[in-house]
Amino acid sequence: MNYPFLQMIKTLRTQEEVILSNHLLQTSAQEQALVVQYLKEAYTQEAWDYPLPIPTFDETAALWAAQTLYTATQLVLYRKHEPTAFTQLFTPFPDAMSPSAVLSADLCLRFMPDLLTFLEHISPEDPLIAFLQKILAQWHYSGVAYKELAITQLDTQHDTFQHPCIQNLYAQRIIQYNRKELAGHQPWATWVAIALGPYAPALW
Amino acid sequence: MATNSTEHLSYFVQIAKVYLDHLSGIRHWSNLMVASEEDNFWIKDWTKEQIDSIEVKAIPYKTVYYAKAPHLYKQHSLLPEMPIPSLLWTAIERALPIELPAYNFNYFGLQTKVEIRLVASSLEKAAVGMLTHRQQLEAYIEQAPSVRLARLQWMMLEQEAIFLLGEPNLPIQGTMFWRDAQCFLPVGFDLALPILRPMLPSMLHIANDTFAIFATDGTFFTFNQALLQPLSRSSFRQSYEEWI
Repeated sequence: MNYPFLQMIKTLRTQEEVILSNHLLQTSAQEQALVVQYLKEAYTQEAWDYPLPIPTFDETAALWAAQTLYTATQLVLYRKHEPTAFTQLFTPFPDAMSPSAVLSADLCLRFMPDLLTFLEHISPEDPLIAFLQKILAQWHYSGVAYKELAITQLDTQHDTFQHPCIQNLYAQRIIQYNRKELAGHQPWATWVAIALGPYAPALW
Repeated sequence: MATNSTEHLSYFVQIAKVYLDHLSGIRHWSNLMVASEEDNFWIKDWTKEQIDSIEVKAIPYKTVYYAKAPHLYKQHSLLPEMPIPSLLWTAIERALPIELPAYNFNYFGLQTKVEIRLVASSLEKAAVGMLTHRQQLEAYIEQAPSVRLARLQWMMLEQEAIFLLGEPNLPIQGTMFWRDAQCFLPVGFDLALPILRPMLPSMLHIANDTFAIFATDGTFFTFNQALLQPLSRSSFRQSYEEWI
């Protein structure tokens, strides 16, 4: 059997490359189940390194993120649509935001910053860039690596941001990508300060 | 009564360079200045007590002069011998360095043995190693910031004992060690003979690719350096999952 969607997600996660076999925006339910299965395994693998309490895997968020990324890459290569069609192609996230959703969606959405940078190199005026930026701004954790993300829209009082695992992983990602300016804003400043303790000059 | 004018005299001692070893008894008098001149050695700045001491009288083949500007007179003589030599003077400790014999590792006399002993020391050293218990590390690591773990290496010594290497180490309870090449000594302790530190591995037969962890009573154990692995939550969890 040929599963272009599953193949694309697998190559992306293992080799950090996007291989698209055809212009296929529709994916079958069977293939979606396989993708969820694959992402669940990936999540279990990554959860070995997550601090307690570890949020459970959110299938809806993982699949939604995979599909969003798949559609975005399709549009980069085969663009036959007007910018007005973007809203129909990208379905909005059906559930509420939660720590599980943030971490499950991050399995795929973490590649979005690289995709956006790639798009900017091809054509800085592409309307797709602004559209994807808007999505990524909601999933801010996945977009830490991306330098131009607006943080004003974020509801930092939301339960998601009170989760200790999320706070810990946020601090780790900010330090990993050397985002000094984000570390100057609350509440991220506190989380980074907690992570570094008195060793800030030595560790970062 | 007039003061004894001889107490204010400055004395000079001349000795041939071949007899230099006889000066070993007075080397610790740091006020002395020495200078060399062709085949001879000059020593000046003596005090009256020093020049009359047994240590000086015991030096053979020397000539003692006293100075009355601009001439030198032999001791107990009134005839000027020579002008005061103008030489380059240096402190006796610098002019006569101590030579230490090389340590012979192959020779151990029946009675002479070098004892490796640890004593409390005020030497300040960075604590880079830690011996801790699994529960201690587990309690910390499950919620620890990854950035604190990333620079450390760890290994399981036994089921419950863990060695952590790196700086800054973790804020958990454990025994801290400072590092001297391959050897890890407990903080606040040093060898009773610190000069032995570089020779420890060869004296104790510690192989090149191992680390030695010392206890305060001088006993030690070794482990292979290759067994250390980067510390991370997943490394810790997976190690113990296999174990159980």
